Amino acid sequence: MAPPAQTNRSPSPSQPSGKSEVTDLKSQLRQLAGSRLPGVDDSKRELFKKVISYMTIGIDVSSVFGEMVMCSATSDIVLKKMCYLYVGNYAKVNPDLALLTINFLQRDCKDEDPMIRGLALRSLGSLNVANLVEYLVGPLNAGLKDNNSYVRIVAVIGVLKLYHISVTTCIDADFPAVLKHLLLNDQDTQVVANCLLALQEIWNGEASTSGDAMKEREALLSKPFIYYLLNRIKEFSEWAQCLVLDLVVKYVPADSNEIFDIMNLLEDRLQHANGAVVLATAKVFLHLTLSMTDVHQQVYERIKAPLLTLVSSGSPEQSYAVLSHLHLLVMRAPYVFSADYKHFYCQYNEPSYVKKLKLEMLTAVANESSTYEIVTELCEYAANVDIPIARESIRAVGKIALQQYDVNAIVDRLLQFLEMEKDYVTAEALVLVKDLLRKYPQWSHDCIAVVGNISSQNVQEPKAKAALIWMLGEYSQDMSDAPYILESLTENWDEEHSAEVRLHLLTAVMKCFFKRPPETQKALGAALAAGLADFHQDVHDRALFYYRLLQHNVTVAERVVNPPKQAVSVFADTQSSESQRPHF
Amino acid sequence: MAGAASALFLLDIKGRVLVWRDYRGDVSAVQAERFFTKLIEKEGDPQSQDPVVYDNGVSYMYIQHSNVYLMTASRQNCNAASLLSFLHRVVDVFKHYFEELEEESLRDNFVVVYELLDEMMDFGWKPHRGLPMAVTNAVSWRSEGINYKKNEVFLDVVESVNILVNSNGQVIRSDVVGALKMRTYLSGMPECKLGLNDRVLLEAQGRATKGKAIDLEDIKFHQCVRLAKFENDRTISFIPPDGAFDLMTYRLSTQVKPLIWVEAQVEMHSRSRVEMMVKARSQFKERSTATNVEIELPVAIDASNPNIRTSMGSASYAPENDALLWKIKSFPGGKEYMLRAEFSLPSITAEEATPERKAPIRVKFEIPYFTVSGIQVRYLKIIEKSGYHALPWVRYITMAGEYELRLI
Repeated sequence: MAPPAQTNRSPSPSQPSGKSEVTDLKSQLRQLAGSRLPGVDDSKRELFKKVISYMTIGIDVSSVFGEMVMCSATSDIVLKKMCYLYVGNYAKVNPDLALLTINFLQRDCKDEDPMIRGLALRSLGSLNVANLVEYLVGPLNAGLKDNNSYVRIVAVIGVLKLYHISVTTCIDADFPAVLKHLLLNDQDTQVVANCLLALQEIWNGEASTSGDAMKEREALLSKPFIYYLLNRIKEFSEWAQCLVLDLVVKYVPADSNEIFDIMNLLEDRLQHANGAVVLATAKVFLHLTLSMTDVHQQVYERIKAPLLTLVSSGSPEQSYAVLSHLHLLVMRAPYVFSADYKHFYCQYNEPSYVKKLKLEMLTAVANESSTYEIVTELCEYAANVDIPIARESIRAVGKIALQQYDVNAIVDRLLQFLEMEKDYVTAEALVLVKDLLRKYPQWSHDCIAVVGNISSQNVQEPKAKAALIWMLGEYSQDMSDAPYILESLTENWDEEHSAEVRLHLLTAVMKCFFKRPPETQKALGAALAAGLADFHQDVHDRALFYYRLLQHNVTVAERVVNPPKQAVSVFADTQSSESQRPHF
Repeated sequence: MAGAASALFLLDIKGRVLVWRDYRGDVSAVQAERFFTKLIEKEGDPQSQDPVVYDNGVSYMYIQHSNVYLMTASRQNCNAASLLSFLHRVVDVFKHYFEELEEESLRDNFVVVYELLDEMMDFGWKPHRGLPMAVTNAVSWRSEGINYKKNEVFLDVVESVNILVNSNGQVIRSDVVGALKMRTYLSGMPECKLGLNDRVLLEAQGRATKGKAIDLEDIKFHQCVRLAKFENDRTISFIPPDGAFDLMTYRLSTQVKPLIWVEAQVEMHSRSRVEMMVKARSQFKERSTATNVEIELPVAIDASNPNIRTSMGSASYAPENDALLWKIKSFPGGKEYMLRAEFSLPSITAEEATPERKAPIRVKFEIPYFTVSGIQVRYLKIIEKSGYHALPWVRYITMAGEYELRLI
């Protein structure tokens, strides 16, 4: 622990900044150190509090070290704690003080009050002074054998801390073996949990260089040990339960009987009030039943209710965590949640990170029977909510349209978007109509009727503009003004910043020309000229290519630029590789 | 390895570190502070940032409480849900000790803050079940030797109603989240048994359900409840902790009519005057009464000069929330009240006016002695070896949870 990074905050009037205050403290502490008067502990507390405050805001109070230690010859736990906090801070940076600190703490490790023993041991373990680690071994050994569980709990974590400071000291003192003994024999589940945590880290660290460590690690995944933990899981704290569950995920059961055994033992964890425990249990169930299709389905059904409750009952951050998990599940088995789509409707006040995930869920679970309602709801978001979410909602409608066969109502909605005359809505809708037409060209008639009414001046965003231009080219035979719109767009060539738009414009003008040559001739000439003069490499090259094609043979050019096309059946980017990977 | 954090930070509203605990030495305060100030300076809206962010080898998880951020950082693939839930637990503990958790309370109480953080997390791992330390006996949530002159138990059945009504006036979502909140002042180690009118139980017992039985969808219990027994025969038996705790939570979907229905019509009278007519109706039996009803009606951002009349209760314009707040202290069942409000809008509307964020109508209320689900506590038996008689007191109350009606 260290004082915060900003040490040059200017102190407020009530906060002193200087040496004189520290000197004052020093003499005040000295006075109290030897005193036996009643109420002295209260005065000491006040002074200690000052010392800690100064320390925290960055004032150097290392000079009162001696006095602090003197004053903490007391049975007052609060004073002890403050003192440990203080010495823990300075021992790291001041080697002279480090040894004094260790002596002081070692004495307290033998105090008759177990709380003091535990606290002292914890502070000792947190010192992190590499060349003094040998002084930790004795107290840790004693702590591991202490008859008070609190001290043992602290000692186990102390061993882990030691491992991270000095691997050799920890291993040479044979601590892993002691921890293993406690793991299997200690009556206190918190001690057991801490041993599990510590041993996993230590053996993971040693496994690459030590065959023994590897064996020990594997032994953790033995049936007797796993069952031992499972049978006692209710007695562990909720955090420890998560730890145990994570271990169980790694266990390989011998047969399906074991699988059912384990699930029976853990069934009631799904009703634990702590969401993390529910999620960890769900993970175990899903992992265990991966190869048993029927049961796997039943597992989904079983975990649904608790997971859905979690979506709306915790803090927004917890909703976020649960929804992130659900998102993965839904990718694998969308039909499981398809009846529960209402749980993913957005509340007005929810933070956008939750709303975004919910929109993805709605897109993923929509099926034939729910599409209409879901799309209705999404349209409300497009109209009423903040802009980024409105955009995502429109995209979601589009995605659903592309997934479903029966697209009737969706087309109506998309076209309604276009009629809303809100720029960002129009922009998103255009992009989606374009994709829709690529997959369902049979809807072109309805779409084009509305798209044709959009003034291209209202469309500024590059992707939307490109979409509009593509449609003008592709359906130029149905859109009466197509050549003229394209012509005016070409006139503004120099103001068009997006190369993507200019590329589309070239191609669209060509396509329009093939279908309506006399009307498009002027635009074609202007577009090619502008394209050839364009400084962007791709635009220039494409214009040149078209020019040469036309010079060579117009029929060939048409075959190249505008061949008959098949409708797209599945868009490559909707098949995410994410959903194929195992996640449990 | 699950759950190990490298460090825990408490930061102020600008992202500067106030207090921190370094557990593993592999994430520094400087690094975290730099990351975090960058994060909150991004694009104005802090709510658009995910609460879990990965940056340069470190996963950061954070929550906000008033003007303080709590953040953990980890280099391991830790259990995000667990750490986020832990951060909320830290907030609860701090609120318990300081009454309110904000920058001031942290600055005034550094020592206790360190102490609490130390108790709750050691080396990035959460060792303790809670404060104070658990006693080593089989019932770790309750210590021996508790004694009260008067043995009493209070059970509040609190149901929260969530509804979502779309702009066509259709109820698109309606569910109830319930909690059985107990406060026990009982001596010794009492065995308690709770009986509800749970359909599965009643049917299993072969009793006629008479339409009074309820179907609970998702039930969660406090750890003191013997879950195996519940799975077996649906009895809820437990030795309760001392003091206040949530015995059970449940959820159920319901087709019941919204308890309080609000309709608002907004008309533009001219380019500069808008009128809102609101009807509020209570759709529950006359013998019940809703109390502390607050109806929040959205009002355009640039409205002014409010002129409000109502047939019941009082209403005030809260421009800081762009809302009109209509408060009705007592709203009996089967009644309808009206409100009429007029506002001025600036007559020159900017060409690029930001699109209206049409917020929904939100309602708050409480209805004592009432539940939507029909849940009933049929009995609460308390048996302790010394044979004392304990008095159970049961109350029912329904409140509005997430209650949104979009403007039609």
